[in-house]
Amino acid sequence: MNNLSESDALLIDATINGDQEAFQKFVEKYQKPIFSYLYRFLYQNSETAEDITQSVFLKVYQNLSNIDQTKSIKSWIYRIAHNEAANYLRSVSRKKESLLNDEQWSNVSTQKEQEEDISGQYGEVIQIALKKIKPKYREVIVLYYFEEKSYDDIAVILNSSTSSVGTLIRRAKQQLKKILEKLAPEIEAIFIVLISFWLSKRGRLI
Amino acid sequence: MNNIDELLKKSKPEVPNLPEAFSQKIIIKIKEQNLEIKPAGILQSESKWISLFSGILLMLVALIFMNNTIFEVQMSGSLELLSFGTKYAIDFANYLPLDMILATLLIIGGSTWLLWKSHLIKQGIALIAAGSFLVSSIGGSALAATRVNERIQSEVIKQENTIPIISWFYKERARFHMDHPNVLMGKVIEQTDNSIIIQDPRGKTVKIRLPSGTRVQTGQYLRLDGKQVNDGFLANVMQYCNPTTAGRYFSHMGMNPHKMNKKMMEHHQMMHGEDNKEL
Repeated sequence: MNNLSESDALLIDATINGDQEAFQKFVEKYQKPIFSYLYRFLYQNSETAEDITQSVFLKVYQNLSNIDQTKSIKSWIYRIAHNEAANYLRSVSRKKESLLNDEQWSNVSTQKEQEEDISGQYGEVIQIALKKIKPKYREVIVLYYFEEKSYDDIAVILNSSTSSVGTLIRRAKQQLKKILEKLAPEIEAIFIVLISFWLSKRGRLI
Repeated sequence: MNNIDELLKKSKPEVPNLPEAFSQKIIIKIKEQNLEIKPAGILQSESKWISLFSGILLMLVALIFMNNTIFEVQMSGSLELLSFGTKYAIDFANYLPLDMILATLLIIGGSTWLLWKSHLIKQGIALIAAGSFLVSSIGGSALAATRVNERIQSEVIKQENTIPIISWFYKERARFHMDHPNVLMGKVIEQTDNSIIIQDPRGKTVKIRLPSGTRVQTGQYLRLDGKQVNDGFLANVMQYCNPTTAGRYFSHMGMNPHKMNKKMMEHHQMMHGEDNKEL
């Protein structure tokens, strides 16, 4: 079964026949989602994400003749991106890149009294917690919640089974919850304030 | 958990835009680095299937090795030692064909690696290794239980021509070589008033003094626990063997009678000392 769209097939054929403009169009088609995934997965460092996106497309170019046409091309590129990100994470010390220090965390905490910023702050708290969980858990959170990929797509990207993806997401959420509780003892209070605030904005509270 | 679901969906980080000329930069890099499209080799999907089938093939080889290992243990006669409980368990362990076991494990390792590398079995390597081991063990035991080895062996022994590996295994390796100073196994060939004479699977005859009150008949297979005395063997415990199981030890009787194979010689020297070269 061929899973390549007609436009992709045309661009790939043209690239293989030496038309580099065709490959430029191909890159333009997929660069945004790949960069977005790498940016969110790799600690929101745009420089790193850009460099890795670049090496992903260089790999894609070199392997155009060996595309597995039975699989979705988008998942194939994501899979290359996953491998490149894994290589990158192996090469750098996780500590160096990831964690906000105590001072940064306390800055986040002192601001939380301001009601208008609560939603944004909570996002920040989640981001801090996400940086503290294992990369394999962060990756499935990014793919499922931020990139809105299905379990099946994630299974192809991670070369795993759909049930393993479900297990990974469940464990990721458990670990995230533990870290959130550890990070801020008053997290439950923030939950309540945040939800109350959100509901009041929508006029659901009496 | 539902709260976390909601909050995660809401805390999606904004992504900055890529530089406008990003795709152009890629093309420039391709030109700078003289990158070329790799020629179409074996398609990834085909290579996965090749790995899968090679892994399955190796698993079948492991299954055959497991079957042969089991058959060698059965034929060695060492299982007779376990009939007297755990007191000869260490002696039994000395008879295990470690080279065959190691080869089987290596083949299972190779099969596991190929199956894992195929990426078509979406499980961890430990689980694949456990599965591969189970399939080889259960399959090997089932194959050994069909008595196919006995049939092959009787054919191979009849053959005058040498079939590489198979002749070596069935004629030399998979044969009786249990040799223990306190345990004997053999067929009753003669009875006198207070003793019997048995012939072991090597063709050697031994005079046995049995525990008082025991009755045996000529042609029966016996296993005996006791000690060697001047004129033969004094048995303290006697058990009757299953004729089918014990009968197979005698399959080599027509071949090189009274001759020890290499393994038998090793065990004989281990049990009776270097100086005792008696057959």
